[in-house]
Amino acid sequence: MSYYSILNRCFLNIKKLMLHKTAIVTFMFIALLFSWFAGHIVVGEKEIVFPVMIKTSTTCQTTTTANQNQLIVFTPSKYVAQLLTQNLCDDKVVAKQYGSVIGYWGYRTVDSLEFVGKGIADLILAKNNIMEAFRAETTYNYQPVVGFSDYTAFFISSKEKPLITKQYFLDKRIGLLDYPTSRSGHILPKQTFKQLGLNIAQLKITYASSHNELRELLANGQVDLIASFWRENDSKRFSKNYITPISSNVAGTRWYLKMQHNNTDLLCAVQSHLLSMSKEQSFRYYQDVEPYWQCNNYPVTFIGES
Amino acid sequence: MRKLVSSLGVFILFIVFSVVFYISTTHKQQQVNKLQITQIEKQIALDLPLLDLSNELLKHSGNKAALQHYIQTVNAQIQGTGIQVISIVPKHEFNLSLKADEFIRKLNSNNSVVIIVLSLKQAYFSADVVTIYILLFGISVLLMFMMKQSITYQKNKKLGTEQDSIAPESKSLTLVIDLKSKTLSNSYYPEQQVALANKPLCFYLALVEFCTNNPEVKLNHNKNVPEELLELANKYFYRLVELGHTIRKRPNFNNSLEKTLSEIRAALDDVLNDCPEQKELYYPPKAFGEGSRSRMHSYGLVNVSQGNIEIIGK
Repeated sequence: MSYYSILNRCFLNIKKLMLHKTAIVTFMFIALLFSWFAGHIVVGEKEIVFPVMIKTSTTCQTTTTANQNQLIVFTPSKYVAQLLTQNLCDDKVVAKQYGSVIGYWGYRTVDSLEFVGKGIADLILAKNNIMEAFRAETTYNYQPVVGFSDYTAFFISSKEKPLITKQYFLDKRIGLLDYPTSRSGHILPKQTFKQLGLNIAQLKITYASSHNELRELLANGQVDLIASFWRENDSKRFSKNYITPISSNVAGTRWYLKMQHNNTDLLCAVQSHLLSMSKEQSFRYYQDVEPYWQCNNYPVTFIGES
Repeated sequence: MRKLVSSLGVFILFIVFSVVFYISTTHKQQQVNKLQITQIEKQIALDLPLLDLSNELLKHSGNKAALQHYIQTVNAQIQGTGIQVISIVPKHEFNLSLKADEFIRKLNSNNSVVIIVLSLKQAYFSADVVTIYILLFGISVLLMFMMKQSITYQKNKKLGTEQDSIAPESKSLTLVIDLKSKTLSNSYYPEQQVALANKPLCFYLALVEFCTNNPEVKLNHNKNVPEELLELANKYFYRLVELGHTIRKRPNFNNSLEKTLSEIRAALDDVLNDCPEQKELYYPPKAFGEGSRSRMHSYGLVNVSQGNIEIIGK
């Protein structure tokens, strides 16, 4: 038999086999299986991997990377924390004493209380009422380095000058800050209500999370008056005639350095950085900063709060 | 009409495959979505302590801007999945009316319930999916073509057997034994010839002739082959010698009878492969059950007289 006829016979046999009923049913079954598995394969199976979503700190290395000591900075503002951390890393005095600087920014009110109360931070921006509450100046020897000037707390209204009387507040919608450490936006107005014999539960109080949010509430007419401080650009939206002071000489926030050693080199380096950083701030209030230490001549001395 | 039926067939096949494919993709997609939603939920749950949500008890208003920024960051991470976080709100603030593609997940924490509003928008058709659909259509067409071919083939075959049954006299199977080429074949497929050795060929021819003449005689393995049968076998062997197939002396047909019979059976198996129903006429019976040496068993072709055997070159 020739190859051709063998091939031909093979082909005929294959054709016969392929056209058999069982073969067709098998092919159909295979096609169904294919449809099912193709469906499973075609759908992409991407696993989501999340990085750290909310950062609350930044770290940088000084020039002496072998040094294990870490300088811990805490401030409520992320921007300030990042800027100051970087500045301190580049500082020669810091590099002599520390291997790295880590800057935390407070994401919540509770964080700042933890940092102050437990004396974790070496350098911290805090209000003096908090420092006093925790006796931090005596327990951890936190020393004020620079301070922002005192300010006055006001009731601000958009339509009339607020009166400090019991009758006046009774039917007013009042905007206050929700964090209890704020003096102008929380403590002082509540003190005023107490002095006037007003029950806070009877007042219509709306809480906001920041001074800016308070101003939004007032500007949008959601509240009749707010408790805050006065800034220059407020006159664009509100009238300076419609503000009533609650209390003057509210002490501004201060930078504190934990002075467990008489480390005056570090103190002066930190002070100079804080002073130069304040100059770059956009708000005038933050530019108005006062140094508490005399660093020009040795020995370094405390000038004190004026 | 025929075209309509086959296109309908292709359509039905395509629909069946597409439905299976569709169910498979949606099933898989649901699994993937479920997993991804759980991953998103897990991440939000991890970040929950740092999220500045409002709290009714603590009179905390929360930081909406920070929350919005967080949601944007999450959405940037899960881009391409079709899932989006719409909002994260504590239960007391939740008064959103959900849109059609939105759904909620609840996070129960120790002192509050946080509701995550998510949306799911997924386009079903992608390049891959369309390619698979085209492939499935191709498979449907191919299968339909095969089915059509198969039906025609089966029909032809059926027609052949029907014709056989209508005119059994004219078209009944004939076993052709060709002494000249020493082959067996059947009349349906004369080209399918099976060669047989001299000894089995002669013995089979003798067996056929013997059994036609003496249908009642039992041929038993235990007994010697009857003289008459041996003579016939020898006669056929001399005929082969005459035809020039062999110059060897004639074999002893009494020897290795079982081997001879199996060679005959093997050849008949090949020749009668397509018509097994005709086998019993021409096939030396095999011993079933009782054992090949049984006295009961006979290898005689009892019904050979009913069959048609054509011997060429007798």
